[in-house]
Amino acid sequence: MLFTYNDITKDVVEKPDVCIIGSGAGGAVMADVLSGAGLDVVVLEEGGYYTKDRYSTYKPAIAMKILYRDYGATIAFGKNPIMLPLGRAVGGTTVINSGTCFRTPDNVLSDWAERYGVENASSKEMEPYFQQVEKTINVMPVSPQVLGKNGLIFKRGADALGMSNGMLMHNMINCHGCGRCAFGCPHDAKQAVHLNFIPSAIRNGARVYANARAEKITVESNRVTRIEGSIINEQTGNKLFKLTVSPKLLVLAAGSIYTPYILEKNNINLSPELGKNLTIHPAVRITAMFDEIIQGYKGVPQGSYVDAYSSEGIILEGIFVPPEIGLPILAPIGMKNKEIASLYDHLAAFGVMVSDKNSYGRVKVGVDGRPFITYHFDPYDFKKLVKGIAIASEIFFAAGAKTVNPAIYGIKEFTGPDDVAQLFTKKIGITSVEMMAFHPLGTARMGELKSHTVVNSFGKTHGLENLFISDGSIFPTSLGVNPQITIMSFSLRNAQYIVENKEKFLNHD
Amino acid sequence: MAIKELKVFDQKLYKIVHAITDTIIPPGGAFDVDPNVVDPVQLFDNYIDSMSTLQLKAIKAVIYTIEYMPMATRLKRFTSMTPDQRLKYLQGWENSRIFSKRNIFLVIKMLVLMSFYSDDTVADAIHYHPECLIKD
Ligand SMILES: Cc1cc2nc3c(=O)[nH]c(=O)nc-3n(C[C@H](O)[C@H](O)[C@H](O)COP(=O)(O)OP(=O)(O)OC[C@H]3O[C@@H](n4cnc5c(N)ncnc54)[C@H](O)[C@@H]3O)c2cc1C
Ligand code: SF4
Repeated sequence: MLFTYNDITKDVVEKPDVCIIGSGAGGAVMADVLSGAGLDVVVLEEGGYYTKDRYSTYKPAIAMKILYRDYGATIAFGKNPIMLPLGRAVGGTTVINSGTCFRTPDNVLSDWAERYGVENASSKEMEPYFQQVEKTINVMPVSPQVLGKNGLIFKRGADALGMSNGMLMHNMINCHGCGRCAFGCPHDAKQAVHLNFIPSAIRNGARVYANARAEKITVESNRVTRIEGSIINEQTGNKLFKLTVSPKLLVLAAGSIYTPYILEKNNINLSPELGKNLTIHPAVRITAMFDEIIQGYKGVPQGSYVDAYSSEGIILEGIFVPPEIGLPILAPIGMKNKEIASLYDHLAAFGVMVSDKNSYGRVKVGVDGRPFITYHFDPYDFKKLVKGIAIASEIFFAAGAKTVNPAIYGIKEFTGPDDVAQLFTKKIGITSVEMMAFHPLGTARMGELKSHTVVNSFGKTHGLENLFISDGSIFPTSLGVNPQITIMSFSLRNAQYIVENKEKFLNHD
Repeated sequence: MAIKELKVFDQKLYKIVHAITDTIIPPGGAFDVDPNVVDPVQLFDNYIDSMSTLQLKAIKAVIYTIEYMPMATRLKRFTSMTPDQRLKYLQGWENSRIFSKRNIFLVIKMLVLMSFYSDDTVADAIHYHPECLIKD
């Protein structure tokens, strides 16, 4: 069953085998596998339950208000604040993500084994989990029919320069190429987890509570005994009813920001590493003006990519947004804003993302009681970002751009490929680049090296007997690619581990 | 102009915000929309209505800062400036060397423009007609 605040008329009391906090990439898979194995599962999700009928009526800016946390303006503070949007809905961030699918790179898996002692997670061992997840969410390459001109143009430029590129893999069925992946797919083409793992868990008997925020976690004798929270009115944000869940096992899957936050807020200090080691995969968007009509908002916004520099930790992926989301950032105020708005059909946009090798962040409870995120962007990683901007600019010019806007404060838009050299001759400070990030990971990292990690190789916390973590927070380092497949596959593997050892984790006498 | 249904701003704030939105998206230029049909202040106000009290307080504080800060150097409030002076002043925020000032203004600019360009009349004016590449 799925309950929203509308269905609930009194305080909720539950005593399931397993309680899962969060219904995103990590939580949904857990819920499906554990309920499929006959366990009694309750899922608590702070966000609402939205179907395509609801969000297909939302304009992108409204979708940001409703489907994202804090209007999409969650911020990582540091020398330069970085926008770090998070989803909040049944299905978590998968409801508003771009749908790009990458397996965990082999070198990343072997690095985790070597440096953190992560066991049983070689690419060979992960293969069946990747396969099962990809099958469930229908991963396939984006078809040229729905790629749209924005993706095609960038491919054209990369081809002209002989740079390795291709179509991205996406979780989709019958994509219409309507360009709205990040605002809730109006055709249910994007296979976010509220369309597969969650319904399957419900069929298995799981009870999913939407608008249900977990607030207090009680630990007694090294075990989680109770979770208390509130049923929230989606319209007003007011608390309606109390929620008390007393599970045999708790799985925290609230995401890389809210998992360490909720633990710290409850003084559950599992390890000095909790909340630290945040990686975010920093990104920038570069835009270019063409003579030809592009209408980049038609087509899969993140359909193609350039991986020629992935060994250096630089990846370029499509990232086109509609005018109401793009213009506030890329056009200055005044008449120029209106001028660029009227030329929006001629704009192309692409993203550059760099893996955080030396950069790191932290999640803490802020003075206002909310999560406070900090991020130190290391100059070495920043250099990679600037190099990525240069590569994207060259690709745009090779594709025939008239001008390229590198999105760097103090640098005028480029009018030809020769201008790109400025990126290496001028001093560019970290604060002069408008950055964003979409892939927070690492705040409760896994491994057998207890002094450096928070959970073991299967997500069980080192400190408590019946607490698992299963979301983006468990990954020890940046992946260098989009993380949803990694999160879902590890969740699947870790859920099976719980099932195999259920006597040990669930029974307590 | 008649003040329409506002959820966040009072009359005093309406006046200041109106001066701000008029500077961010001035009348005329590459496209125009009838101010009697599209009121950017109302769009902005309605867009931020479900923000937390703390967030709304912060936004109002920035708006008042924009209004009163010029008193220190120009002995004039923002709303008393000419359109040209207002543009220069807000460009000062937008391009400030102090990145926190730049970023604070970016938040206001984003909210104003996100709500403005979401309006159907505005979308029409810029010929933005999103549609699927593959029709049903
Ligand atoms: C705009 C955007 C585009 C992206 N595009 C891609 C992409 O193309 N490919 C890709 O691989 N990745 C992409 N990502 C990232 C990917 O979607 C996330 O990394 C992934 O969904 C994270 O999974 P998770 O389980 O860690 O957390 P989430 O999916 O975020 O789920 C956590 C859930 O926990 C809930 N929660 C938090 N606290 C509580 C509480 N106290 N009580 C109850 N519930 C709570 C939240 O509301 C949320 O629904 C994108 C992200 C964004 C923001
Ligand atoms: S392009 Fe449109 S139809 Fe295709 S997955 Fe994205 S939102 Fe859905």
